[in-house]
Amino acid sequence: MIINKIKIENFRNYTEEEILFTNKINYILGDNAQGKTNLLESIFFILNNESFKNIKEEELFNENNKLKQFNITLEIINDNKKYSIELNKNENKKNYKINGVKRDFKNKIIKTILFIPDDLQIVKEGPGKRRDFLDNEIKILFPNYKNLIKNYYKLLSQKNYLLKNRRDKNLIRTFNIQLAENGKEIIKYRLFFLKNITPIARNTYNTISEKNEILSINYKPSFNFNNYEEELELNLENELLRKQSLIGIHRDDIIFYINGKNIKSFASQGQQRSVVLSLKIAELEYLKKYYNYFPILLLDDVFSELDEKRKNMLIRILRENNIQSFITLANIELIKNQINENDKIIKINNGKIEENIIIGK
Amino acid sequence: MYDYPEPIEKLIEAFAKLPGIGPKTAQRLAFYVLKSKNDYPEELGKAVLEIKQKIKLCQICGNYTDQDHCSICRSNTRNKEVICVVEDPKDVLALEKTNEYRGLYHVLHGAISPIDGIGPEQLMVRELLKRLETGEIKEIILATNSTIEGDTTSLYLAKLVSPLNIKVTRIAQGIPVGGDIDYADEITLSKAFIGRREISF
Repeated sequence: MIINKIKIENFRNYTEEEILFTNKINYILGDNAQGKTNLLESIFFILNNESFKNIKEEELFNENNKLKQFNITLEIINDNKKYSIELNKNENKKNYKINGVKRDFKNKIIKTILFIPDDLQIVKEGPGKRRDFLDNEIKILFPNYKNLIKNYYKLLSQKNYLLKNRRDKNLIRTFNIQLAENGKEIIKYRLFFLKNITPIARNTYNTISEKNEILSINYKPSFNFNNYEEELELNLENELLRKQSLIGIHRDDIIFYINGKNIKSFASQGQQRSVVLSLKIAELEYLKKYYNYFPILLLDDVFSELDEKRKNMLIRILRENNIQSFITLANIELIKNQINENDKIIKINNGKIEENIIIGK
Repeated sequence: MYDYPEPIEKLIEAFAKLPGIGPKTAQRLAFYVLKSKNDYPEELGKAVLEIKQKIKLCQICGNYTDQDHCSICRSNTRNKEVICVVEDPKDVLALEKTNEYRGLYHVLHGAISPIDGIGPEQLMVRELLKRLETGEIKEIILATNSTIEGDTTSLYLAKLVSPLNIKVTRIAQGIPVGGDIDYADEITLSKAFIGRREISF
């Protein structure tokens, strides 16, 4: 399944553009603030029904357009058959159409693996960033997970409000039951993901790393989650005293080890990048191996952060697995050793396509 | 700048306050009323006034009625041992249309959401408990919406009622009748799985 064409209307700095893609690697070139990331965002948005940036959807309307609305249309090719997905968003509504017929957005048609510069920071950042990272990756594999997370945080904010303002214990207990129910499911997914992804990531990491380094990833819960409800009940008085939710999956962490040592404090830039790159590659391979599913890869400005060896490794895996990729770059020099005659170069200038060529032609 | 004469503007504004009505539709409605013949404007005005003057909440179940007790609570043919708890008077009508249920209702007028300032005290929960204390009720059916808030409300009520030795049930959640499984989202499907039933002959 590949994206053959996109049509973007009034999305961010795009007015109306139609872009043909290759099923191999699409390099999206342009200076800063010309619309490279916006193009990736539009692809991500229509396939995931949300942006990868933490924004209000109203920010996606083209500022110069009086009508507050945008359209994104994808032409998909699957088994030589073409079909279209169309998204129309205005101030009040979001509509999906598949082959012209109105449908709810429910199942992801194409899974997208996204790699952005922020991802490279997760090893050293706080636990919140690592949880978000983990949750975002799991959402890609399991659409159900997005709702679990959404529900969990909705319940949590209700409970926190009660802890601060109303202190009605019976009602707090009701929220605890629901939090435990959602939390237990979320932990199952997180553990399942790490159990399946870690061995693949370990292999990849071992290949990239200079020395013979072994990567392990551990889930570090903030409490004994086997007795989820009991633990919440035990902490109730303390939570009322402190006016905040002290335990739950929103307090857990993920720890990365190299050769048995927690790398949060000592990892070099290179090691951090290798860890994240290994995780992303592990996801690609996991999807392919266990679901026989080919995701697309969206890579935003990450190439400037990777050295030749890591770039080569990533590109080789994309080519071996025939993964359709969209890679933004500020400078073509960054890929001069990786480029192939089947790849495409799409130059963007101020929300307009300047050039769209297959290199070998 | 030209404006419509004040009475027209006033009606447009009033219509525009209604849910789902934008300025364009409000204008169309106002002109429709203006051009309409005979008694229609008077009928409309009277209906609007009366809805506030005559409609009150049933003293027993909280449903809308124009008397002290609603027609369901007054009826002699209903099963007075079962109460179906709903969020909204509109839900009563929806359930009545099925012709399946012959018990009583209790309308909460909302669902628990502390952030929005809605706790049990803002809903008709005290009134429900009072009805249950009489000992005549054998079962309550929780038919709040299948949302987080609806689930919270049902769970809260179930806990509250549990010491009273009354059977508490929650309506089933899952795939709609006539729905294709491959169109259902994962949450609906997993709820449908949890609520699966044995087929026996």
